[in-house]
Amino acid sequence: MKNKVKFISGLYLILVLLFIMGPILVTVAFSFNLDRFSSLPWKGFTLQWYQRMFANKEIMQSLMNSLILGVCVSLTSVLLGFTGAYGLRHWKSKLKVPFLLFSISPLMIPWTLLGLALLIFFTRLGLPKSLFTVWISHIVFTSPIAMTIINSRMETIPKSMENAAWDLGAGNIRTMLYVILPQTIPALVSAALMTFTISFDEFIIAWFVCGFDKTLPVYIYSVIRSGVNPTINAIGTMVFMISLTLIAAAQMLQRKKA
Amino acid sequence: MENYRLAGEFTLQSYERIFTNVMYWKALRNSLLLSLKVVAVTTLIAYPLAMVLNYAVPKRWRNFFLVLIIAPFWTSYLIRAYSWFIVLGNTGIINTVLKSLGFIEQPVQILYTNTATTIGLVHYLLPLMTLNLYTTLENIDPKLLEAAGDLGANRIKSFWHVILPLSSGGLCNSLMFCFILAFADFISPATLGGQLERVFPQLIVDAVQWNVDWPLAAALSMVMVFAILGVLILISLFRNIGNLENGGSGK
Repeated sequence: MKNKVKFISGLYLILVLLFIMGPILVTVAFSFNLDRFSSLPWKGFTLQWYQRMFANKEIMQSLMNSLILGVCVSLTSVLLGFTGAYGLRHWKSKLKVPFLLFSISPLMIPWTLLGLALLIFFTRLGLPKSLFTVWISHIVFTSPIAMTIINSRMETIPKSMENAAWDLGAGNIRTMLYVILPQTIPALVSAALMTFTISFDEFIIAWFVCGFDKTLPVYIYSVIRSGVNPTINAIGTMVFMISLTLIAAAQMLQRKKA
Repeated sequence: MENYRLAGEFTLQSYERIFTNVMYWKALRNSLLLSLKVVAVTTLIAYPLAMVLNYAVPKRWRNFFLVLIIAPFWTSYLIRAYSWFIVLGNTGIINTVLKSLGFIEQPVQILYTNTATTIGLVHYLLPLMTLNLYTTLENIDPKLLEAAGDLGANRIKSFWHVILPLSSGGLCNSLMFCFILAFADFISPATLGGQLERVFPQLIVDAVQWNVDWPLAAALSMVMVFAILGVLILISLFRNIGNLENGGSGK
């Protein structure tokens, strides 16, 4: 009886993992396949789809856009997230909880609606659609994420440490730089990696507000509807690798004890 | 920007256009049916998976499997939807394998149908739902299960009377969460789905992209928000009834 349950559990686990990982692994595998129709049987190993990817100006331009965007978004989100979390730590007010809820509310709005709202907002302001508007749009929801990550780290720093620094004559800024900042650095890096990944992969909001500055997901969407294309397999493999590496690093930093 | 008419006077015209047009009603129905189906399938896969992880997998292996299950969530959803093209397409892996085994002569049309959309969405939501349910189950005190066993309950009984009621809160939260994401999703229907059964978010995007009719898009968004809210309220009512029943049977 017990063995039977174990066997069924194991089988179930493997089947679900196959469902989750299968298509991803298939995409990676077919990015090296010689056949341009991405179908079985296997025709042989090639790197030509990667060569084509790197030779394609449109792909490289949108990749560049996405990388620049990701770096800007993650730096701004970390800056806003850090100041937000630091402010929350020292703000004694009844409005603290409502403020916290309000500041994470962009996370609860479906992205299709957020994209539409931002599009209308930017047009009313008269801002042309560009990478700049995508940057502003992304930090609307990445900075709350950064703040949550940084906040949970900052909460573990005892208040008495700051009090000690103040007693020893350090001002507010020096206390922040020498007491709080060094202890939150793992969270800062982790938040930076996470927000970069989210911004790098985000499609629908970027699609609404990017105008002619296509990001990589917007480019992928524009070619995806025409069907399977081995160059997209290569792009997909690259995107998977970038995201997974960054997220793995972020997770390790979050778990690391001070 | 010449074509924005948002500064005009107050009007309910856009709502009138939505509610008098069959196309929008159909899309609303498609969206509701699709997202309910997706949430149901995801739950039916994720709940047993969370149980397996919690009760059958040895402790030192749990994190390893959790990471494997959750990692895809952090990669591009667009690429994940695309990866199903290779599996489900007419010359895709499933059709090729079925054909070479002699089960079918003509390829089965899966890609560009409602089924493909469902698969894409389930694939998207499964990691989230599993993680949510896993944390819920992890918080149930194992002593309660021991107690149930000591009192003579078999596996099925202790599942029905201990695990399920104690996880109903976390289950309802995951249902709500996944429902919002499934209802508002644009990527799976737009890439994997066909053009016949269009869903609400697609109409919003169309209103922006093709008609450049922003008041209509905004009105559609409001309808979508209220549809989502309606279902969320229903789910939370269901949770309250569940809680009352538990209170009753506990006495």
